[in-house]
Amino acid sequence: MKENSLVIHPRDNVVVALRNLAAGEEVKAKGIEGFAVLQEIPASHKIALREIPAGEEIIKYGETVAVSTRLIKKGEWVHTHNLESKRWRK
Amino acid sequence: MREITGYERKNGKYGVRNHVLVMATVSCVNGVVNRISREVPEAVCVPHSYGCGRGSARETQILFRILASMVHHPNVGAVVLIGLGCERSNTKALLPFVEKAEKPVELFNVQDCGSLQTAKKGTEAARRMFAEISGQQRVPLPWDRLLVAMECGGSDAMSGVTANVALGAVSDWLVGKGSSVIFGENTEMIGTAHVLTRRARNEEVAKKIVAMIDQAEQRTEDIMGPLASWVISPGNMDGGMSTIAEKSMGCIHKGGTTTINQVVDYGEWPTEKGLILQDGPGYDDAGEGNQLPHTPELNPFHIAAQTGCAYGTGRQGQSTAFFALGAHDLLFLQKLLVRIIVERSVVHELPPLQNGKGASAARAAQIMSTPHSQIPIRNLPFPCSAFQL
Repeated sequence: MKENSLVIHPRDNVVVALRNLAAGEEVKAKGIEGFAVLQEIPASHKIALREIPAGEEIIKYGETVAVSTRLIKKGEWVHTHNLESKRWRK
Repeated sequence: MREITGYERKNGKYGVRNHVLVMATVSCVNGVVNRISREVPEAVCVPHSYGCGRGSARETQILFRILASMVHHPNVGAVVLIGLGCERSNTKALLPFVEKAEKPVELFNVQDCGSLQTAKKGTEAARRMFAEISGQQRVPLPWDRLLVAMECGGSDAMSGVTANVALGAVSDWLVGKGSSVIFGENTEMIGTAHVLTRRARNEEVAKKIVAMIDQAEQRTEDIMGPLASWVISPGNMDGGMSTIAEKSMGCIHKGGTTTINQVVDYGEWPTEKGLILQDGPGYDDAGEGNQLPHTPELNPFHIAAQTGCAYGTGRQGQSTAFFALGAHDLLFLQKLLVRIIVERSVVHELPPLQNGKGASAARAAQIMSTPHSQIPIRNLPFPCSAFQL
């Protein structure tokens, strides 16, 4: 299997794209079942590994790095449009 | 294992280079320093934008500490200090700190003899000093005298799994050899206090880590107000990072995994060995100015280190981490680093940076549309500790 994504820590709920992924392309990474991305994902950006309800912590490196601002579906791009910093909320 | 060599200084420290430093005490004499730089290009000439007009005790302390530390720097064999005369950090005020350096130091003031004469005298002095120090020989440098600083820049979401991890591996390797490693950038530690304190040597160090990061967070809030959550750079966001906590989690990897033995202030010399955490901002020029006087060689000043500085940048995961180390003797460290990057790196072939779907444009728009009145007047909670070098 040629990996195109990376799960940094087993606790993480996001996976990192290792290259640009086209909408519908399958996420392939060690330790997880493949799933399709719902939209185009730029390289190095985050993809939801499972459904993340609004207000839930985004976990990367096994630690909380942000909080979701709305429901994020599995396979959706996770970035500043659907999360916020846990400190200094907008 | 190949040994490294350096120049043994009278105070027991070792430099990996033997520079003649020509430094301004204040920005007003930068023209003179630049002129000497043209005449003696092999000298390390340091113009800068400080020296006056910064009043608080805290700022004065840092100013004197950094200027004096540059003179004391083990990679510096001799010094030409160019002063103006009326500035806060004038040569007379600096003298008590620089005369302890136990190396040739000559001072000139523009207000004594004018710019052209000062440039002429400074040029002659720099040439004289090269002749004076050229006979010094390199000797074996014990690993436990090596001090390396780690710095990262141009981060993206891959820095924390590529370049910074590689730098961390080098940190661990050096600490294992008995050397010391400094890392800092407190802005990029916001959100990681609970991770770093687990590695503190004792409760006192843990408390200092928490205090340092809390202050960085508070300062960011004071300066940026409602825009605090945008503290990471537009390029960081385009590269896939969304928050400061995410950036921080990647940033702290450059310090490796060993015990944090000491927390030192901006410009303060460590007294412990092993891994040292230094208070100082994440903005690279300021961060380097902080670390450079004691350790690293880095781009703004081109002064080589008491060792060198590892500079890890993970732009687009291409692992462009490199050592700006001073001496050929340290090149093998660079090779080691490259090997670690290749072995540990998960990505080698990322495509060119895509503009992250306008995240930074949105950020800029938000900043531009924020009413001026909502942005607080800059009020830094600097402690006004007593002046002390």
